[in-house]
Amino acid sequence: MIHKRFRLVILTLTLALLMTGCWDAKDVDQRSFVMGIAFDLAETEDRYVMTIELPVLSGFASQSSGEGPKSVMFSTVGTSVAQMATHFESRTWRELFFGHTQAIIISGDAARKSIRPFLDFFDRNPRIDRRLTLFISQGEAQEIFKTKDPREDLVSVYLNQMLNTLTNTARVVKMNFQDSLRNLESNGDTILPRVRSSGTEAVIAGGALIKDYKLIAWLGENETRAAAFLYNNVSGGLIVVNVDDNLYAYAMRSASSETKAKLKDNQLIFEIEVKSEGDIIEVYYEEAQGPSAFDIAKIEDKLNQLIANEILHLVTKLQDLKTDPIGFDRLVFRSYPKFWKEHAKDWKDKIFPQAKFEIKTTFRVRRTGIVEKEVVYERQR
Amino acid sequence: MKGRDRLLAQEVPVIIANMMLGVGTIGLPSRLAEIAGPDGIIAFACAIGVLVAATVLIILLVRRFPNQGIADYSTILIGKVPGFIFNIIFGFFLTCVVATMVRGFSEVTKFFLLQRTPLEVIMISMLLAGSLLARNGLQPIARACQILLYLFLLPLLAIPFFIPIFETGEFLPLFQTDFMSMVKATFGALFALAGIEVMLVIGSHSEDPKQLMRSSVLTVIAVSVLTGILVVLAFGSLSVNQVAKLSDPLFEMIKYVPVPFGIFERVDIFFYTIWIAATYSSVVIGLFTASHHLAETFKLETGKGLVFPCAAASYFLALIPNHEAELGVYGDSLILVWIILVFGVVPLFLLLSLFRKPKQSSTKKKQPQKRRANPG
Amino acid sequence: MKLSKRVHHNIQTIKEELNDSTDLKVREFNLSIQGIREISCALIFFEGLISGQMVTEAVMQPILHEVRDFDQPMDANLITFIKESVLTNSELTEKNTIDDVVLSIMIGEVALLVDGFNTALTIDMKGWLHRAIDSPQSEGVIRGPRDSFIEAINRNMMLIRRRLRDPNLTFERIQVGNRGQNDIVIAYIKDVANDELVNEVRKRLENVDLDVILDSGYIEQMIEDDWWSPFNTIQDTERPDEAAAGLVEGRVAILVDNSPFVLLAPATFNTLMLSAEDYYVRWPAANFVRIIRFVASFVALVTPSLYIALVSFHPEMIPTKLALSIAASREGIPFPAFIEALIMELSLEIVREAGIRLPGPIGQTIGIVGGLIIGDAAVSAGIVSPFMVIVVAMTAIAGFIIPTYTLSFGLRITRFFLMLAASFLGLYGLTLGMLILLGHLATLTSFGVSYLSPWAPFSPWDLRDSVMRSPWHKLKRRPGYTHTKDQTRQPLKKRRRRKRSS
Repeated sequence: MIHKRFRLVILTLTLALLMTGCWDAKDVDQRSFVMGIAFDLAETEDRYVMTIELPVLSGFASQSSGEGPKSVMFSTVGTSVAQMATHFESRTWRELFFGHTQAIIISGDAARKSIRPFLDFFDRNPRIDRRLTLFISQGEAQEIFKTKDPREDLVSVYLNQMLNTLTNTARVVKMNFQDSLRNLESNGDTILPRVRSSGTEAVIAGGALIKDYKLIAWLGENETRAAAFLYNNVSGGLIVVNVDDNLYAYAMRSASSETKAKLKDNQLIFEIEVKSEGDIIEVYYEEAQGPSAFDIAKIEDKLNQLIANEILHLVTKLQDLKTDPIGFDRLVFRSYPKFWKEHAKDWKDKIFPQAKFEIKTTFRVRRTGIVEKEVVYERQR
Repeated sequence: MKGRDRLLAQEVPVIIANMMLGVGTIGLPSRLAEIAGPDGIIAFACAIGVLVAATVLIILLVRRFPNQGIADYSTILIGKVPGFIFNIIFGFFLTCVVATMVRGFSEVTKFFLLQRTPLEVIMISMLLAGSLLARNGLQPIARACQILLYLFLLPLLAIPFFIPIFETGEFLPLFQTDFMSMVKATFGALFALAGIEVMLVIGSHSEDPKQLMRSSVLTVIAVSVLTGILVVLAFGSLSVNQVAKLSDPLFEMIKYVPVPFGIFERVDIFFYTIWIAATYSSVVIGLFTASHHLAETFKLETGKGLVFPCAAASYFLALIPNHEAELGVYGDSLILVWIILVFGVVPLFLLLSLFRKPKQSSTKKKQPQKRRANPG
Repeated sequence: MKLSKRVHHNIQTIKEELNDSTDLKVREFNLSIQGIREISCALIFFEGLISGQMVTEAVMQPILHEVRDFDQPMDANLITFIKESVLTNSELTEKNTIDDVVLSIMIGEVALLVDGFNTALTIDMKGWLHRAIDSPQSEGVIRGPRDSFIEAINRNMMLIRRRLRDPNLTFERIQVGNRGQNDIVIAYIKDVANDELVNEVRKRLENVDLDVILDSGYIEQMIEDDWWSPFNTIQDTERPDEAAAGLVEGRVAILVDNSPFVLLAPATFNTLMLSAEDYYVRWPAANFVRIIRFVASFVALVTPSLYIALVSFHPEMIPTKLALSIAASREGIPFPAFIEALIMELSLEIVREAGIRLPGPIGQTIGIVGGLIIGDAAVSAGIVSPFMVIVVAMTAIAGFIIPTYTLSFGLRITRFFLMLAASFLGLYGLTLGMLILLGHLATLTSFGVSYLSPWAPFSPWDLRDSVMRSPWHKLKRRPGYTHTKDQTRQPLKKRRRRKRSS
């Protein structure tokens, strides 16, 4: 009897518990998917403009006519992200939902002040997908959302997809929110992908150099490529070298780099080793007659020199700017904890600028396409 | 009278593994990284050592008194009244363990899955679901746990292959942490790995006491190493800094995994499920152990009727901490009690048992009868 | 009550016992012995249970012809003579009490009463009409035998016996039902089935005290381990090959008269998920189908609740583009996802039930009308989203893959429970629901056997015939969960055995 009564008690208890409500239930169509967020400086001091990109749901239905806007932008002015996010709540009956946010774009001007205020809100939010991308825009950030690409309805999705599928150019650092935070929180420096609006199109190229959460310089595309090598996140890309007045397009099929820290007589030396394999996918010759055979060794030599110089150029620039976005300090900390303890404080100002770099690059040309060699017929001679 | 509920030889490791894997696992890397940095791995290794020692002590004691739970022989060893008091305290400890698990679980669940749902609802639903199974006795629990174990093991073994970034450099430098921090980190690891103490109550149900030592120690080591792999993965993929910062780094690590097949945006959905299941199995075993122990203390035939009171007690205990940080303090003190129990009380009992010869199977405890149509 | 020596008296009592039922036929006749004496006799039987022509040909004629030459002295036992020398029927019994005689008449025997004797001879002449052996309705296969059990229990025993020409195959008859007096037969192979199992089945059957047993479903529900559970712990099958396979595996079959469904005990979740055809097709095909079946049953169980959990609680876990199109398709739908799912799932169940009740061709029409037209109309009317239709269609189709009808019932009920759980607590609720389900399954036993065997407790030998089936030459042992006396189905090679024991 007790047994039965207990079952009854459980049943009523459970039902009573459940009937009181489904607190978190909110269907997808009741939420506003914030696909992208842009931050700009406001005209008044210490205030920012937050712009969000929301999809217009009817535009995504299977029976949709295909007309009408697919996305809509809202802007608001405020001091903190959370505050600005609440401002939006009064302008849409649907709850803002950050679970599918694809891109956060911070304008260069705002970034020069500091990017820190924009990050914490997203860092704390458990629903944020940490694979979203943090961009720094050259020019107004909200301008990016105004670009229209007929193939992609939402600019933020376009940006994130672009960055993640860019395999043919190594001119950006592929870095998602998690990677950026990882760098920023280790020493405050990082390189973020740069985005700019060309009026009709959003272009991702180059990088933004962040020191102590502040934007201090833009990096060109070649510099960014060098940085990508140092970050070891190059998966492909094209390098064009000039050998004997002919241009060779070298497509990387794989690339990897390894950096080691060495300490000799209190002198820090970083040994950077870059390895890559790839194919020649195009030879561009000025004259009618191309070379009769590839001098692969020469091409490889040239590639090695080119990339080594680019990397050296980048690290010298970093040393001049006294910033360490690559995380060389971690290498020192891991290998020489005692040295690190003594010099941790003046790492960026004294130790890092004086470090030496030894760069070794090994580029290999594996294939030259289906054209193996240039054969010249007798008759044409 | 029916014979005691038997535990098949293959079910002992299952129970131990399910009790060890649970709420604590999720926060473990964070604790280690926060206190000891890369040395957390070493602290973890130390914790495994401590745990193995604890297991050996507990199983020695269990084997000394076949067919008797700790509630039975504690009165024989230290006298009726002190034994009774000890039993009550131990029962309270077990209930507290359940309470800590449930509270910690619901905090994380509320945060990640159900932001607006009241904490109480999450706790009550988990406790109710747990007690439903705990009431049914040891055999069903062991079977359910066995199925759950397959559920845990497959993904745990698969995760390493899907982690996109793994930096071996994150584990350097080693031996930079002072002794006290190491001890603290070891404590933290023990919090996540504890669970072997349930064997004091249910170890005597094992059908094959001879195998008990080997299987328990091996299970403890295997589960610890598996958990260790998770810690290593978290360190290597998120970096020690990030792990220390995040409250539940394992979830973040899983979120980071690119989905091999695009049905779900993130794989963490599976991980949540597994983790809820892991908590559930720990809660079930915890509730059963607590109620069973108390039933033996009060010389009741089964602990069935005590499951709901135990669940209710742990619910109210779980409501005590005001916030997560306070919960951590309670957790630490529980670990202290655990250490006193395992390295104080258990050796004491072992010593005493050398002098007071254990009474072999009194009339109350019959020798196990071979079950009819032994399930299997 | 004892029989008296007077025939008329006996006839009177029997008639009274049977309330002078109209279908009770009493054929009185006089037997003349060597032309000297006349003895009045009577044949009593129920019309319809026995054909009158048979009675004439096989009983009346021989008696009238043979007994004429009875040259024994008067006090010699005429009944014994008739039994031993006259009648050619295979089953003849002497009965001493009225009750026994009445019972015999009721089960389709002819009672012969002879004046001057207080014993009656009952002649088994069961000859009622029954349906021809048909192909199975609910457990069809492409490859494999097509016969199925029918309502007549002796035919059913024949169907099993024909497959198992084993002297140890034992049929034990028990009569259950204080009004129905229905025949129940326990079948097992004596040197295979575990004695304790057989005893347990016998004991439980003997404890059944129901007035009438109209189908094996009555017995199943009276002797099952856990009546609370939505899952059945006894397997029912209408396939003789399945029953025979069960017997060989050491299980006990329970045949109930008037029921084309034979019960097999014990049953585990695993055995309920297997189809007879799995054993007839080659093993790669069997494995493929089994994996699909297990996956599909999981899909049928969780898809709607997973949809609810993800759409209402955790849209961040749906791929971005899919989430957008789900959101777009749901826009304008007045109900929350749970109600939407409930409407669709309930109408699906209604359509299904209606399809079963309606006569064959109309049933199919209902399926098409219900499934396609209503679904499509509901979408265009904006009551449900197209995704919901996909989800429901998927669960419905996946649900049909479960080979045991009774198990699919259990899973269907559980599906609603999970939907409810998911609608209140999202993914956590769904997981908790699944865990409660797992806990319940772990608690279930079927005649002492864990319902989750062979996964829990883990038994590697039985795993050879669960989600995966080994090729036949590897299935050397009988399943372990039945604890058979004879454990091997094929001789184990000696070398292997030594290896295993060392």
